[in-house]
Amino acid sequence: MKSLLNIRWLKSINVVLLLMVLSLIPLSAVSENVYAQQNVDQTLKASPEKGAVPGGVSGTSSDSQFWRQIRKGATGTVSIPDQKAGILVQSEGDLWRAVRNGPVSKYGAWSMLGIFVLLLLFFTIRGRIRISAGISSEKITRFTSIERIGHWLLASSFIILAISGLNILYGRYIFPDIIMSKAMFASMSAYLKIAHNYVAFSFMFGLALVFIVWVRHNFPSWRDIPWILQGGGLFSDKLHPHAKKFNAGQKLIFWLTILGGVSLSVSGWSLLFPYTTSFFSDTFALLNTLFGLGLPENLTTIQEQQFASIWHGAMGLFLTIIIIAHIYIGSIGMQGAFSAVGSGQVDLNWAKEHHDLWVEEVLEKQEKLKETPTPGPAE
Amino acid sequence: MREIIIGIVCMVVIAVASSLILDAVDYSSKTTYTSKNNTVRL
Repeated sequence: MKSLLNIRWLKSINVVLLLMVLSLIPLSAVSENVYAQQNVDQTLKASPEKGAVPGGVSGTSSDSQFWRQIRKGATGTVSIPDQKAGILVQSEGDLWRAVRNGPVSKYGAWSMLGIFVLLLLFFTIRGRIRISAGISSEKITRFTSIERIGHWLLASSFIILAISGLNILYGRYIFPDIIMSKAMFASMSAYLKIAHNYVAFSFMFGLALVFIVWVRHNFPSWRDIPWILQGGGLFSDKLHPHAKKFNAGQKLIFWLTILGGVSLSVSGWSLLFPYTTSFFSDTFALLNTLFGLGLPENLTTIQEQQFASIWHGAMGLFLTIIIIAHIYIGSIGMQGAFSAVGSGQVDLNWAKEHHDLWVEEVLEKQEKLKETPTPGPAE
Repeated sequence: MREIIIGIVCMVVIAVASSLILDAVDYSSKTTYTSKNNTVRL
């Protein structure tokens, strides 16, 4: 009986304890809420505005906010004249490097390989374009001395610029530890860079000379349309579309060389004399005015250099590809073509097949000169 | 062929002349450059 009473007593204690525990749960929840609320209130009270760190223990500025702004290119002030030193991290540099070492290098290499494959394919299928009527015994003057000097000044400059430029873009992937030592590659690159800088002026002179002597023959005309439609006669020995001194293909090469060359010269000038030009800001402003493109006009000095670098590389690769095709058709691709810029004299049959209208003009002039009576000695 | 050699010689002469002229320029006379967005440049 006594044990029975003890059990009941224990049970009642258990019930009381259970009730007490249960009653504490909502109380603790409430107290936690209150405590949390107090913390929030304290934090809000202590937290200064604009994300600064509360508490004042490690300073009141948030390091993460601070470095985030620096990383985004926040500009500070410096007491030296070079204000660009106020930018610690220039984020556009990442983009510049990614574009230069990515698409520009990658597609440039593939395009160069592509043009070689295309020309090899064309040569394999079509072979050398020969003079259909055979070699004549007569010659005709195609280019004068000054025209040929201009051509070779431009050509020799471009070859050196292309080789030294390609070394800047691809040299590090090809030469060090594979073909030569790192030290030798460094020396070679340094000399090539010096050559690139100064031969650039020879290129500009050559470009100007070629433009002056050939521009009047290179304006588009309606005769270019049938020439283009017939593929310039490149795919058949029997097809010889009419052309004056320069055909549509040569006119295209001429304008690509002139416009591309000017563009290369201008962007190269920016790189030669860094931080002294605003060519891209000005160009973007002009494009915005003409076409409303919304391009950035207030570029920083570093951005100007980065745009110039990317454009110079891409345009250099583009012109190199064009000139590879030009060299092919002017040498092994076509019989009798090289002598035009070599000796200046071309085979008459070659001239009649590729520039018949020009031959007619030249022969007419020669006939008129023969008909004009030479003045006799004064009596 | 003579014109090829003359063209190459012209290329070398212009490049050398450019290097001599540019090396003779006193760059210290121009230490700053102000663009339209008012950035002072070296």
